Order: sequence, then C-alpha cells, then structure tokens
Amino acid sequence: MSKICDIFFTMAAKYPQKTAIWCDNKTVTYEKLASLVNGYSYFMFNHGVCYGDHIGFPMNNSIESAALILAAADLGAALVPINPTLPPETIKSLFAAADVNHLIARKNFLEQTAGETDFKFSGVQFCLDDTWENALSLELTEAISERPPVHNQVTGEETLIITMTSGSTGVPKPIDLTQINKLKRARAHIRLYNLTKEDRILAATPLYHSLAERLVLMPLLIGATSILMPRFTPSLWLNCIKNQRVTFTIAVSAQLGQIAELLTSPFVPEIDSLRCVVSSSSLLENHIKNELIDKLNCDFLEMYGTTETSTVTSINFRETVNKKNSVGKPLPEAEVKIIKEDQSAALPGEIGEITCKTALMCSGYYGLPEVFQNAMQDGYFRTGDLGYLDEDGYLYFTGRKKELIITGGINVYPQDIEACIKKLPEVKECAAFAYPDNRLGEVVALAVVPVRNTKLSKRNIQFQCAKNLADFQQPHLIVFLAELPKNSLGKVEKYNLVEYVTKHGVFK
Amino acid sequence: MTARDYILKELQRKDTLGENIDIETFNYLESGYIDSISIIQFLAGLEEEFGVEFTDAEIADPSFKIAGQLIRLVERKVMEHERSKAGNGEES
Repeated sequence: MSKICDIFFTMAAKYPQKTAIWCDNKTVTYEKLASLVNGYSYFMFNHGVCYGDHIGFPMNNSIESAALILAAADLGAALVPINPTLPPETIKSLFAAADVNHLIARKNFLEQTAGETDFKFSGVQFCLDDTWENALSLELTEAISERPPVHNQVTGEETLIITMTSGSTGVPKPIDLTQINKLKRARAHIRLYNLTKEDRILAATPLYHSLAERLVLMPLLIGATSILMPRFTPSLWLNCIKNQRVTFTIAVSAQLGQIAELLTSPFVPEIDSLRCVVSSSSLLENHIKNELIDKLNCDFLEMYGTTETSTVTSINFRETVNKKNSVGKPLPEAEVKIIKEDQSAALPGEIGEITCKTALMCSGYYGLPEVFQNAMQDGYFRTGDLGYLDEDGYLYFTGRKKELIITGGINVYPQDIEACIKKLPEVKECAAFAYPDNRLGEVVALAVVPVRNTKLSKRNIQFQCAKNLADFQQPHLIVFLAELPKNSLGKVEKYNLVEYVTKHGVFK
Repeated sequence: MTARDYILKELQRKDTLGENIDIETFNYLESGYIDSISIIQFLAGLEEEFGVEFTDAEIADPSFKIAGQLIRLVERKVMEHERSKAGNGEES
C-alpha cells in the first residue's frame, strides 16, 4: 500500500475503539477519527477543494489539524502548513510561492488578518474552530463513515505537504513532500526505532514542521496512539509523559536541554513508561545526555538530518562512548559523502560539506526545480553543513557552511532579520548572528551600526522586529557598534561577531 | 483595542484558549501559550501598542505571568502615562 489513508483506514477498521490521538485532554478513537477525516474530506470536496489543490494552513497542534492532514491525503490535495505567528505579509508571499488556492485557519488568524492582508485566494476559506464572515465553518462538518470517491484517483505520487524553509524576505524554498515521501519516511523511522501498535508516541513540536507531522503519522499507520502536545514547556512535557504513559518521542535538543534542567529539581515526577527518546536538531552536551538517561530511564538516540533528506544518520548513546561527538552512521536508506572545496571526495577525517543520497529525499522544491537541481551533485544533496566521516563510517558535524541560526530547534536565516532592520533609516548596516544560549541552544543576536548623528534606540529596533518578523526571529540581544568586523574584501566576518561584540560593544 | 482584547488576541496566536480558562488566574507562561521564544515579541508588541515601558522589576514579578494581572498593569500604566501627559500640558 502506498497511500497514507489506505493504511490509516485499515488500522481504523482493525482497532475502532482504540485511542488514535490524545491532545490537550481530548481523545479520539480510530473509528471517530476516521469519521472526522471523512467528514472533512466531503465538506471540503463539496465546497470546491479539488484533487491537486493547495490548501494554506496556519497550523496549531490539535486533533482537527491531524485529521486535516489525512483528509488532504484522501482528496489528493496538498497542505501548506505554516507558523501562525509569521507576519501576514510573509505568509502571503509563502502562500504565493506554493500556489495556495484555499485557506484553513482558526478564527484568531482570520480576525488578525481581516482587512489587513488580501491573500488573493481563488478558492475557499475555512474557519477551523468557529464561525467567521466569508469563511465556511469546519465545525459544521458531519461525521461520515464512507470515504469520498475521489480517493480512488489518488496514487500516492501527489504532493501532500509543502513545507517552507525560509522566513520572510529570503526566497522561500517550498519543500515538496509527496504521500510516498511521507510514507517512506514514516516506515523508515518505524523500523529504525522498532515502533509497534503498543507504543504511545509523543509529538511536542509544532505540526507545521515535518518532525511533528511524522510523529503523528507514524502511530496512525501502525495502530498505535499519538500523544500530541498543543504547547511546550518542560514541565508540561514531563507531566504529559507521566500521565499519558508515553513510550517514545523525538524532541529537539533545545527542548531536551530545558527538560534536563528541570530534572535536576527534586520535585519532578518519576518516569517509568519511556522506552526511547530521540534528540534531533543538534548534539547534546554529555552532562545533559547523562541527566536525561539517568532520570528518564530509557534508551537514548541522537540523529542528524535536514528537511530535504529526512534523517541521514542515527546513533545510540551506548555507541557514543567510543564515538564521542559523532552524529552516527547513515540509515540503511542513506549514503553520506563528504565533498571538499575542490569538489573532490574527502578521505576519512577530512572536513568538507556533508552531502547525502537517500531513498527518503523530498521530491524537490515546489516551483523551483533549478534551485533544487543546483543543491544536488551526482544524486547527492548538498546540506550546507560541514563535517567528516571516520574510518568506521561515523559522521561528525563540525559547523555550517550556510549562515543559519538555530534557536529552540527552529532555523532562522540572518538575512531575513537584516533586511527588516535595514528598512530603518537610522541604520547604516547590521548583522544578525547566533549567540550561544543555555535554554535555546542559540538565540538571535543583532549588531547594529547606526547612521552618524541619528537617534536609534533598542526599543525602535525591537518594535520594528515585533511588527515585521515572526516570534522565533526576534533578536534576544542587540548591540550597537561603530563598525562591523570585515575581511579585506569588505565581507562581514560573522564567525567573528560573538568575540568582536564582546570586545567592542555593549549589549543593551 | 483595550488591553484585555489585545492581550487575549496575542495569547491565542498559536493556540485557542480553552473555554473554562479563568483569565484572572491564568498563567500564560506555565501553560505554554507564551514561551521563551515568543516572549520577546509579546512584550515589544504590548509596549508599542499601548505606548508603555515595563521595568525589569515589573517583568520579574510573578504577577506579570498572570493574564488578569498583566491586563490591569497595562491599564494602570496607560492611565499614569495619560495623567503625566496631562500634567505636562500635552494633549492626550
């Protein structure tokens, strides 16, 4: 079977009374979820959502959102999930890049954008959780036991998710993931982590990222239970693990850092249900890892990957005793090659760009085939990350070739922030860069050189960012400098900025 | 927009508040409606919308995390601001 919904409906027929999803103290059985999915499919189809259409969705973590992924799959339509905190103009440009025809949103989003942003959709607007003018309420959906006839037309080759990699001003790269892509990825991870129908699998990251989408789809494809957290704090996470008897989860390293911090307090619940925790996004420091292994009483794995390639390598903490700081060996589906600057293949121990060939590769960048082609070399995807392989084939991550800040597991492109700040007439030049942070791994820091004899305060900059950037793009530190450090060609030396601002500037 | 409407709207950008929530005692940080990533934008937006500035002591006070108390703090600061402007002979 190569269609997500065929597998889901088979599970629903097999385990009708079993809990399919728990979210925020609400549960839904497989039977009820199947009826909800069909209800959504029929409702959207009857109101003009056709096979191959693209539906924009500022997504929250809820049972309804999970059901809508399945409904889109059964209609052969694609979802374009986005972060609802992005500024409306950014969302407009992302939706335009993904050729969005329809919109599904909560009332809060429709209210915020009403009269301010004209998304210019050719199709229909749906309100997920209430009623709103010019929008059809998905609350009117009735539970239906039959699948819509259009599902027979679906082959699995259809795009299911278009996920956006870039923020506001950079050229967005819409990553195209077909049902077959999603299914192959889910199956590879089910095998990798030995997941079974007995598992209770937690997703505690936003559903508009592919990690949480996978964590919700995997249980629904094997008759297991999905535990979906609508919001994250370390304390909510620990209570959820305990009360919902979670057995497996993948979390981003910044979340695990915060959880480890909380675990040092004497008042934390004892956890005895977890079988395995996987850390993604970046390597954890050893003391954090040890704290987690000690208190969570479970197996612990780390992984390396990108949204384009899915997981590339995986490592169990037991192996890390001998392979300290490695991100592991490639999955059976993946091959890794390190390419040096002169484009030749690196020998073991030599640092170069990490490239990957994998059966789990996305199907490309939607609407930008030449950009995706440029990122490929002989069938290998150039990740933009630097690293090396050792004699035994273990991969080590050493840095990033591309400029990127990863805060709380979310990628932030410095140029998006710089473009926003440069719009202030008092700014001569500026540079956004990563600053180390205990809680979030890295935070966005900003160095600003004001135009001579102008008044520019930290507040002006904060207001400019609050209005024009998403929440994860906000600078946590702002420093004023007389000039930015540059090389002989006049290029800003970003790798030097943390040291430079410590010496020459004052964080205000 | 009133401080109450603005704060409730901002708290719900990621997720809808449950029907049974008591705004007077609702801790928006512990419940994850605002987190360590979104707090910066939440504060800057609030300061700009109402033309106020929070002191470090106000932000550090436990009551700052409670929606009902934050609403009242903003209302009080707006009133103080208006009063001081009137006192200085500025048009309000």
